[in-house]
Amino acid sequence: MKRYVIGRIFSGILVIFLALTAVFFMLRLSGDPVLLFAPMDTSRQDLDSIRERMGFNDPVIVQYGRFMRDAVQGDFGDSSRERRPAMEVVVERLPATVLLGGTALVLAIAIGIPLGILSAVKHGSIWDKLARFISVLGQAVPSFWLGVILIMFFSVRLGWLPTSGRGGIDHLIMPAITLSAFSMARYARLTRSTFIDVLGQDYIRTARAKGLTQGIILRRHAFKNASVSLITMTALEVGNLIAGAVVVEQVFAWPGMGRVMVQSLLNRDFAVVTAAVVLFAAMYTACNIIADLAYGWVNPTVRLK
Amino acid sequence: MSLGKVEPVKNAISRRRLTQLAASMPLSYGLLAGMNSMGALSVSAQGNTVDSVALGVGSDPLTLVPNHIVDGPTGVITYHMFDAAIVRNKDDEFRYMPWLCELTNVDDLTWNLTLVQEGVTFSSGNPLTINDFVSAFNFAKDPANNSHYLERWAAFTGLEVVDDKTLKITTDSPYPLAWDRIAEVYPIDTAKIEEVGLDEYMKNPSGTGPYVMKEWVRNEYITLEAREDYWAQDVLIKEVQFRTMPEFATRLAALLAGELAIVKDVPVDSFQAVEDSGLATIKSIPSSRVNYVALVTNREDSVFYNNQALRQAINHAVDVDGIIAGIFQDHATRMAGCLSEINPERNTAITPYEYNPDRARELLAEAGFADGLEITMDAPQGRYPMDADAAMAIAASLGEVGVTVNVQYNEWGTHLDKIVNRQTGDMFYLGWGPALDAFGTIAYLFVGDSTYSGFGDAEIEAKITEASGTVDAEARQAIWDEIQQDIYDQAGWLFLWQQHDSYGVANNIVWEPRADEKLWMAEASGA
Repeated sequence: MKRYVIGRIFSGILVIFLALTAVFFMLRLSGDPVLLFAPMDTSRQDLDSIRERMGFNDPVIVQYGRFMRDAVQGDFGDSSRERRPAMEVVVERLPATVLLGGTALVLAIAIGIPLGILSAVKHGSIWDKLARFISVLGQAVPSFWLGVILIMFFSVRLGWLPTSGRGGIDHLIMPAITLSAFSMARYARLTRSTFIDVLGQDYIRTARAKGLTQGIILRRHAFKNASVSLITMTALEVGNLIAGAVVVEQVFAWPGMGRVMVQSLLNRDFAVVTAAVVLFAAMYTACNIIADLAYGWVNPTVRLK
Repeated sequence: MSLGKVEPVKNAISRRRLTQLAASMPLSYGLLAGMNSMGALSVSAQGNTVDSVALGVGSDPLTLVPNHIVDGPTGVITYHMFDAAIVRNKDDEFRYMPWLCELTNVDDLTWNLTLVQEGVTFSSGNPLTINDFVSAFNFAKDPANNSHYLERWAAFTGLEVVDDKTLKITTDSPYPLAWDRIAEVYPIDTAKIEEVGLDEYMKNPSGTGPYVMKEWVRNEYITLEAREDYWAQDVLIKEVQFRTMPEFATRLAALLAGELAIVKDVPVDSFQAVEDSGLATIKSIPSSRVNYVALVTNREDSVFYNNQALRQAINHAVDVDGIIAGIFQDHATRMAGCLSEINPERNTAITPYEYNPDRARELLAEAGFADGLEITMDAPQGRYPMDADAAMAIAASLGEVGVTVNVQYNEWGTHLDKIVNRQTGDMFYLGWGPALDAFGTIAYLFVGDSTYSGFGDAEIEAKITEASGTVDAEARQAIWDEIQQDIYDQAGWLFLWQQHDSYGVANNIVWEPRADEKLWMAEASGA
């Protein structure tokens, strides 16, 4: 077990290293960052002087070596726009993203799993059809569109909720719903298919023959067996929520990491983008390790080697 | 802080010969500024007091201290807290006028900045002195402050406090942009910096401007509070909150929900929604920003190189008025030449190219393309009002006369990359501004190796150099007129329009947009 965890941590570090390397070279291919913060009346000579000062004139491989040397010491450089440590720019936004992503995940689980169970138990009924319609809708609607529609309806037309920004729970409602829609649909679909499979198993038939109630069968037998795939999906869903946050935070002016990632990409603020990628990759890797450990907790027959 | 190591003068925008002759241009501006009476400062807002308004901006301020960052939202927020030395006068064709100081041109290499306002204090209570301008220069020039402006200030090699009112500024060689640069000097509170240190000052700055920072929640909003003792005027909007809202659709929704007071750059297709809301109205003003399509002549591989007839054909082929009426619903003003109507140095004798497809076909034949040709046009998407639609309409117009235009839409950074590295198609769409004098447009966009230029012509460059070095205003205007006529005859651009800035403005405030794009809440009041 201990060996397994250490192995996973090392493979996680390798993933982060590879992600960083890929992002570093892709960003350098994206173009000249200086043009995006230097005024348009800057002469070509002065542009070159700024590039020189910021190290962008060095060969890319030299820049990469310098970047990696600093990165292993936790220094991802300064934001070219904000002129302060890039990791500081990213980390100060982490709580907002965790709050939004966590709320969206809870919403997705709280709605998606019961919806999937209902659909499986009432297989073929109008409830099943309704639940499947909601699932398809959740996966088909782009979050940008959904976000704007929610704003126009609940903020502009009804005046019930603030359009954007962070504040009380009222500020969180629309971004969380928008971000959770896709995940909720995936949970519902996966739960439905898993439960339909589990409920057809012999041991469920035996349980029914013993006279156990539907509730006990679902809770004690079906849910426990279905939970391994749901845990796997939850770990993967963290990645989807991070990706979704990039759009949702932009639409709702939510001050999280997704927004800073978009703005930094558009501004070619290389240091901030790489710092954000490291943090995202670390979060994703950690969630996968936790998911692996959780398998053994919910199902003692699972042993990690 | 100190001036530190003085860097050699860099060629800021003008090319080699340009800088050698250009210094005397600002002299006339200096005289003009000197002639302005202090009565020009009577810009006080009239109307009702409003406790608080909120404005949406695309991004968080990058700093709260001016002089070292080039960024739109940062500029809007800092100029509410800091006063400039000199400012542009919106009531006098945006010529410079004294504000805290008067600027005079002593000779080609020397300027005097003279403090003309008495009793001005920073929000800390410290009195404004001439040393605070020296601190501002030093702050901008100190490499330790990671200034985006470092290269822009390198030309100023000497600062000397002559007396308690006068700062002598010198350069090693003539510097035609001195006026524009010195206009960007915002004095900083030397006494407070000495008291609390620069780091602390950066977090909680004090300026002489109409507002002082009340609260800044990074990435979310910054709230400014009006100063009751502002020296220039009464400030009637008592609190202004700038909210960071990167998405335009969200800003517009916030205006329609009554959360914001002003939203900039409302597209024409959203005007009705704003007007129908009952909460806000659209206010438009012809901007000093111009939109054009460069017909590339500073690259030999361009089809337009040495082909004046082809360039003229393009100008006759595009129905610019039709595009303005259709796509912009008349919210753009056609340009005849390369300068907008707002520009006081525009050649008023020039009239727009006539839309005449038959003449365009004749010129195409004369240019050697009787059977038509295929061209790539690079265009941004979402940078300027209706730019993608306009590019498509231009392509359609040209298609009518046999010029097939492949429109290549670029992400903004990529678009700039391609122009700077001369990798665009033979045409590219660009906007430029605020363009408030001839030099500020022509010297940047019609000199072959300028950063964003698509035009090259040795004779015109020589005339630009001559105009920049001519002291007499009338003589200089005559040369600018000639240059504009040459550019028009040569059809250096497909001349398009002066864009209109359209704002959604809440009905509960009184505020008028400005052609120089300045969002200045000290001029606003309650309805």
